[in-house]
Amino acid sequence: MRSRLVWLGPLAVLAALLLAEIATSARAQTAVSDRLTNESLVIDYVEPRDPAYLPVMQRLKDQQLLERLQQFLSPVRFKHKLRLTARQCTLDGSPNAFYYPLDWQLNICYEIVGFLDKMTPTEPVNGVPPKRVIMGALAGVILHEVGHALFDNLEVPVLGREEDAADQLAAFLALQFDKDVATTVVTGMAYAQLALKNVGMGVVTDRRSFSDEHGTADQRFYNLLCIAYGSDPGTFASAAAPDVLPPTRAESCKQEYAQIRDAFYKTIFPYIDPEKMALVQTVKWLPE
Amino acid sequence: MRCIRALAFLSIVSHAMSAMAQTDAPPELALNPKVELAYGEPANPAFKPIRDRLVAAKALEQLASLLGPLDLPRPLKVQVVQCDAPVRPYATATGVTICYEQIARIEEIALKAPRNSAATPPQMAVAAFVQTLLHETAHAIIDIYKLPVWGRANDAADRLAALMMLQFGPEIALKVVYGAAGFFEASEQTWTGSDFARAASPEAQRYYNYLCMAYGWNADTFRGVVAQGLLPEYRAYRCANEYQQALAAFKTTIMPHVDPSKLDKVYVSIPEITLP
Repeated sequence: MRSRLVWLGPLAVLAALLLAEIATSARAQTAVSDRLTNESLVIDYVEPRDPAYLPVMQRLKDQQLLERLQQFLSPVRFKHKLRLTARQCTLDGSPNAFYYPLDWQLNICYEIVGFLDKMTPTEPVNGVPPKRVIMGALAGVILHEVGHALFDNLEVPVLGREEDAADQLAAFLALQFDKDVATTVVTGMAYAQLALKNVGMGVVTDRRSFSDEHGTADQRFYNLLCIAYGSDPGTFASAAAPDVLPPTRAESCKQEYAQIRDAFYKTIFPYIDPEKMALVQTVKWLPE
Repeated sequence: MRCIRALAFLSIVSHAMSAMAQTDAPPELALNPKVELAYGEPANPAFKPIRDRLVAAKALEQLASLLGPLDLPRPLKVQVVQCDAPVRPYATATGVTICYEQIARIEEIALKAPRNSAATPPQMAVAAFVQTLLHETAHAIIDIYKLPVWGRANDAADRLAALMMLQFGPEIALKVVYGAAGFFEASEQTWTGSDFARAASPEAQRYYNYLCMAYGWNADTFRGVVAQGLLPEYRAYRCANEYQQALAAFKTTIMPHVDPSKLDKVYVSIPEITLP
């Protein structure tokens, strides 16, 4: 499930979000973060086998990535424990993030963090500064895996393809915050799809490329833009520019977003503590 | 010709097409009274033979039988008509519509399919019709009950259609799944650029999705899916999970609308037909 590339994942965003500054006012922030607790969430930074990843681990610790993710997810009334783990995942360095259902574990791999760093664009994308694009991409990767984790943990009925569903949930979550966060994360996720395509991921090379449980990079790119455009045609007007979403797809995006919103409210919202959710929405998850 | 009384506890959505064998007299079909069927008279005389085949096979009646256990809160219109367009997607106001044009195209593609396919052209045509009717009916069910849909709506409709195909025993499952998959393969187009922006999935993706659901349902019945290399192993090993996930979603969202006492009244058969 998910052991395939992060490339898909909107999770990164979350991660970044989570990581990010929770507070400008340290005291107020502390008060908020003290209330964003959840005993179902267990975090762990695992010492990497390859010492080359030690600085990555240290950086994530300094940024309190997992602590922030824990706070971000604290409104969810989980049915089972959920482990949030940062670790080295492979010996070959391939970038990844994945949800592992057998032990309820969401894994953020040190490899993907380093990989995304290397993908940092040289110019702003869609008006988003280069470093924030990558922050958005990482948040997207993490949010995508959060999607898998929520579907599994809460036994959510998933009628369509789960990988698309995880993309939808990631985008939907990002779009519930202010325009700056929404734009940063959506842009980061879209950028990640295109950048990964440039290194051959999600590319259609032959008929068998269609056998993957993930959509192609292009499909995921367009799906994401459609959800964003459908949620707010004003903020995401550029998604419907003539050379991006074709009019035939753009006209259905409002309906597609409504479908996702409906699914969220019917299947996940019943497990959300509304008071904590309101608090989460006040937190500034992405650092300046 | 094969008639099977469906045990399917799933039996909800529709099925279609069949010609009942004279020697294999089926029971009276228990139709869902809320399903309003119509075989429209086509203005184009070329479609007349198609209409005759559907009527003889009681195609729509079988769908109404499949939907028999479903407690529909309002009437659902299901019709085959000349659309003067390639397709007419499901809509709340118009219900489920299959166009004669669509069936003519199905038959044309099936007849041109490579001979080494897993199904003969007539099997492909029948299966593609069944698949199309089930897919559209799945959209109707999602709409009627306002079901939560995670994933792309067209893929969700395909998964529900696949679930239906797999509830009537191995013989029907093999015919319909391999027939539908063969049809998707035969109808593949080259997708490039903004084609990938479509809300519909490429034919090849749908081909693999149906095979995966079938293999996930029963890896023994559908062992050919892997043995013959139709589905790559890296996907195949996850198909049991995919099937179980779709089944669980079905049970959670649709079964509450099903009258279990009517499930054994569902009757489906797949006809042998001859294409012109």
